Amino acid sequence: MKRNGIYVVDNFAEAFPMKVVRLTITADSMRWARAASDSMTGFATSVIACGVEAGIERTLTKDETPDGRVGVSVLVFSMSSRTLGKQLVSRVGQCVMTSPTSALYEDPCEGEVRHSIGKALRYFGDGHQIAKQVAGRRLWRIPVMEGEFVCSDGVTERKAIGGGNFLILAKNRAAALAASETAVRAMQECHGTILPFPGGVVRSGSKVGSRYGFLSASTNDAYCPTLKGVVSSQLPDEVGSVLEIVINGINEEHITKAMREGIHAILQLGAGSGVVAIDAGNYGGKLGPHHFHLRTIVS
Amino acid sequence: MKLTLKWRGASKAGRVSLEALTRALVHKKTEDIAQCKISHGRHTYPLGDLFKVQGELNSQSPHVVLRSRDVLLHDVGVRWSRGLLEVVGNVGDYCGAAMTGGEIVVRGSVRHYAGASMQGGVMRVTKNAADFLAAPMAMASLRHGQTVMAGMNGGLIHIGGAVGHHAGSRMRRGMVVVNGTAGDYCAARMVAGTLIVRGSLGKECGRMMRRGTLIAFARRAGDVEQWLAKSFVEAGEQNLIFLQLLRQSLHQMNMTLPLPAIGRRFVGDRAIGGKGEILLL
Repeated sequence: MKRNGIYVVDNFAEAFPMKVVRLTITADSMRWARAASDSMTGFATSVIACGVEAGIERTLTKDETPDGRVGVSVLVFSMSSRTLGKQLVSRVGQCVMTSPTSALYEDPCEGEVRHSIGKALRYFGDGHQIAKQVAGRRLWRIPVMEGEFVCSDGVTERKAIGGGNFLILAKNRAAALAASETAVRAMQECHGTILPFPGGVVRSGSKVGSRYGFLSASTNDAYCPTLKGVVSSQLPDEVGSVLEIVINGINEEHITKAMREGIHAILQLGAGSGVVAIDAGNYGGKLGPHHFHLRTIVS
Repeated sequence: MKLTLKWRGASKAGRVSLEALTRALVHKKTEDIAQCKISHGRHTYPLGDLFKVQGELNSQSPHVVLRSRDVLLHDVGVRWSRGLLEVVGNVGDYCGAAMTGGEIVVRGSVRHYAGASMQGGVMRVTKNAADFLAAPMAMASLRHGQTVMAGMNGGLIHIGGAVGHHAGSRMRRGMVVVNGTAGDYCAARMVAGTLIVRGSLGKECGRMMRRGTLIAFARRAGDVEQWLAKSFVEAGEQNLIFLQLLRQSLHQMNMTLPLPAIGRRFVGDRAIGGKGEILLL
């Protein structure tokens, strides 16, 4: 299938079940809400080495937050509930509680697994912490040097999907980067999803396994332009650079919508942009139960 | 679909207790409710003898309207758990005591022990409440067959007018908003929860307070020395995000309060090592 001179490969993205929590971080100004959320979602690109995958879902206006201040909605994904619980306490404790004027609230949802946040961090108050029940939410007011850190007692985990993706096959690095930036801009408007990698883009897509026993993942050599002719490459001759966009979302619909927005944004650029094809990463369909077929999404 | 109970104006003297009504509303069909036994003085009478019963009842979410113009009904909405109970007229003691859910709206005043040992739900009173609002039901335990030493333990009480002495005594959770004044010993022995008083306060507020929050408004509270228990210490002026959160949540519940984010914070009662707070806004 060709659209606007760009070939859409008949392939699919393979995604996996994950667990997610949604947090609301507020502050006196958007600068400090972003400072807290950027810090908290830093080093959270892949569960392979970071424990969780996290990102900013969207910014929130004063009308959308529990305390009437501006804020940021953050999604934190993990493969295991246990890891998620540990990471939440560490990240909120070190990145949000430390950030000036910040407060953290849960997004109420139904679910069976609860993770303690304020309940675990309250001990930092050394006995001076105060529990409060406001509008049905249990909160902790932890005294800190700046004033108080208001933090939700816990958050509820819900089911989610991680690993939706598509690959941008371009003639050169500049073209791949420009196209990916266009796609990310379009996808940032899609709520319920995050793009966990730096700037929403990943250049070092991986395959499962390695020739080295101690490594669980290694470079996706079939899509490395410098290895054309050396390995069984999937790249057409004219492709000189590949970038990947990975999408985690709270359900299939949100991921599909984000992928559609991103791919359409690239297709609108046309062949003149240097983009040759749109492809997707998968493991033969044997590992992940969620398959996102590119041609179905584009059509 | 609602059930209306209108006082027939019986000439018999004595205290009228509607304690049995809540259970009857949950367990009985509409036609049987009129047979529910109501205590009046030293005797019991079928509800239908004392009240004119009209309408039907949705047992899943009951909506009951109680009209009590000529008589002071006691124990109205005790252990109320779901649905809406509307009362037109003044109500006696223990209104909404030990209620666990649903909503009680009183278009009038309530007497002592309103919302005593309340566990959940919402109670709105358009006028005044007498003493021991949201306090323990301990004094009532002899009649109610239980010993409860904790005050209000959840839910929300909104009083449109003034409250008497000992409001929020031994309160443990939940929130009380008083639009008018409060009497002496407000928030005394408070364990936790939030009590907001917009009007002036009586003497010895926060006496033996362990934890919890009493919010008062400086312009109306009068001289702090007069109403604050002596064993409170001042922590100075604080900018609290919690107050902003409280303002937003009250706004969502159709209670707009001019809560500024900055207030003077007093901590106590230090005489007993308490860590309660009084915020003077």
